[in-house]
Amino acid sequence: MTVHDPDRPEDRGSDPRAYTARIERSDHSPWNWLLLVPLVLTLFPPLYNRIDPSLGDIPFFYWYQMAAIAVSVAVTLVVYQKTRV
Amino acid sequence: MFDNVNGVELTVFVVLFAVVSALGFVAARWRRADDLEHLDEWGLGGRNFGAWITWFLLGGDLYTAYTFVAVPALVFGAGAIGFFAVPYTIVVYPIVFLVLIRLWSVSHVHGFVTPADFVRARHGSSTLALLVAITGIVATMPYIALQLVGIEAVLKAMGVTGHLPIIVAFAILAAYTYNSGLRAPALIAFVKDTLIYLVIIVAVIVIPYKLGGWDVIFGAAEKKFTASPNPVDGVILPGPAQLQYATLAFGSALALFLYPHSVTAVLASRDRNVIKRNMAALPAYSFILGLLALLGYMAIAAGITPITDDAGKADANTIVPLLFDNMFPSWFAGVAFAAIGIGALVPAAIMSIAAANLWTRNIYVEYINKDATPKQEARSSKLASLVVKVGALLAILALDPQFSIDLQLIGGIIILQTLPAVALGLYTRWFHRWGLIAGWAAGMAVGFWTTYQIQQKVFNPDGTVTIAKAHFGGSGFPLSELGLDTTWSIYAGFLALVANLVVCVVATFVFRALNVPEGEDRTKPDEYFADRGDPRLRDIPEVVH
Repeated sequence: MTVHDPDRPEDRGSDPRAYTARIERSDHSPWNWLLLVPLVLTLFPPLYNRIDPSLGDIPFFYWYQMAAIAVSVAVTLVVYQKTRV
Repeated sequence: MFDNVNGVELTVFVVLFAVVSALGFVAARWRRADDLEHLDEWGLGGRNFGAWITWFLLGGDLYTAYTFVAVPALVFGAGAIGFFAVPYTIVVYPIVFLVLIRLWSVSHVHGFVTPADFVRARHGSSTLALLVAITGIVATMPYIALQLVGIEAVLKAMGVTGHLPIIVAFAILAAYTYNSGLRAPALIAFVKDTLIYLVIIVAVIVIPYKLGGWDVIFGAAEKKFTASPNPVDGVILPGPAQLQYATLAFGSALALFLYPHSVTAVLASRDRNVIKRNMAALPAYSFILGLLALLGYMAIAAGITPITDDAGKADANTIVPLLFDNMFPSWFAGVAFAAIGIGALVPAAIMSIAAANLWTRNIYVEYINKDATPKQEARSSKLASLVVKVGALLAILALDPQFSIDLQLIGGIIILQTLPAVALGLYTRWFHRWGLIAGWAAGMAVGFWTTYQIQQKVFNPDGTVTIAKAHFGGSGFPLSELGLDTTWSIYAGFLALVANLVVCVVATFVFRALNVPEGEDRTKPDEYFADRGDPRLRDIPEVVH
C-alpha cells in the first residue's frame, strides 16, 4: 500500500484542477451510499426492541445496538478505503 | 465544606486535577506557533491537527462529563429510552461523513473559523449569519454550565460541598484556556480520554462481578420498572416510546455537528482524510458510552439512592459517582472521579473558545471593529472566553441549576434550526436568504412552544399522576397535543425542524415571486473539494509584530 501525501506534488498530479476533480469524483462515489446502512439498522426500534435472544444474560435490545457500532465502523472504513483519492 | 470527606479519594482527585492544569499551561508551547495572537492559532490550534490528536480532541469534546453522569441517570430512572445515546452516536458519523469534508474544504479556502462565517459568505446575508452566531452562543452557554453540574456531582459524592471548589476549578480552566487556546483542551484530552476508557472498562468488569452477574443487574431493573406505574419506562421500549427513541436519536445526531464547538474541533484538523478517518474511529467512544449507560442498571441492582439536596430534591446525576464510591476502593474511586472532573474541563474549554470565536468573527468584527487586525481578533476571543465562563459559573451558582438543564434541552432544539442555512447550505443555494431566516424563526417558535407544553409527570404508586414540572419537562412531545388520537411522543426538535424546512421552502417561493434580491454567493463550486496542498488554501498569514 502506498502512502498518499497531498503535500507531495507528484501525489496531487501536476494539475491541481485534476486533483480537485478526483476529490469531487470521490465525494460522489456510489460507495458512499453504504453510509445509509447504520441508519437503517438503528433508527427503526421495532427491529431490535426485544429481550430475546439474549447474549450472556444481556437482552437483545442492548447487545444488538452495541454490535451495530461495530457494523457502523466496518461500513465507514470500507467507504473510506474505497473512496480514497 | 469538608464534612465526611474521603481523604484518599480527594487526594487522588486533586493530584490528577493539578497535573492536567499544569498540562493546560504547558500546552501553549506544544506544536509551537510563532505567535498565539491569531485566531487560527489560539482558536484553532494552528489548523494542523492530525488523526490522533483530532480523535482525542473530538472524543473529549463530544462525549462530555455531563453526558457521563446524565445518560446513566436517565437509564437509572426510565430504562431503555436512556439508551438512545447509542443509536444517536452511531448514526451521527455516517450522516456527517460527507458534509464535514465539504465544510472543511470551503472553510480552509476562505479562512472561515465559525459556521456563521460560512453562512455569511455563502448566502450573502449578515442578518442570517448573526442569527446563526447568536443561536450558537445561546445553545453553547448552558452546555458549558452543565459541565459544572458534572463536576458538582462528583464533589458531592466525595462529600465536598459549597461553591468554592467549583469556582477554583473554573478559574484555573479559564486561565489556561486564555493562555493556550485550543492547544490546552487538545493536550488534556489525551489524559481525560485515557482515564475514561480505563475507568469504564474496569467498571463493566468489576461491578457486574461484584453484583453477581448481568442477569442479576437486568433482573433488578426489570423488577423496578414492572413495579413502577410510569407507562414509558422499562428494560425495553414500551410501544409509544419507540417513535420518540428514534426521532430523539436522529434529531440529536443532526444537531451534534451544528454545535460551534464540534465545528471548531473539525476545522482544527489538518486535511480531509483526518476527518474521514475520525468518522470511522470515533464510534469507539460510542461503545464506551453504551457501557456507561448500563451503569444506570448496575446502580439499580446495587440499591443506590441519589443524594438529595437541601430542598429534599433527589439529584439523579449523583448515581454514577455514588456507584463508584460503593464499588471501588477509595484510590480508584478517586481516579474515576478525576476522570469525570477532567472530562468536564475539555468540552468546557472548547465550547468557550467556540462561543468566543462566534462573538469575535460574527459580532465584533462584523459590527464593532470592521478593520480588526488578527491580533485584535485573538485578543477579543481570549477576553470573550473569560466572559463566557464567568457567565456559565454565575448561571450555576446564582440561578437554579435546573435553569441550565432546561436551557441545554432547548439548546439542542434551537441549534438544529441552523441546519438549513449551514448543512443544506453546503449543498445548495436554492433557498432564498430570507426564506432561511423565515424558516429559522418558524423552527424556533415551534421548538419553544412544544418544549413549553411538555410536562414532567410523576406516576404515584396509587395510580395518580403528579405534575412535577408544568413546562420544559423533557423533549418528548405528546402527539395528542396536536389533536392526534395517540399516546406516542416525538422529539420536539424534530417537529421544529420539519416546520423550519416547510417554511424555508414556502418562503423561498414567496420571496422569489416578490423579486426580493438574492444574496451574493462568495464561494465557488470547486472550493468544496479543496484539500491540503491545494494552492487556493489560505495560508495562515504572517503576524506583524
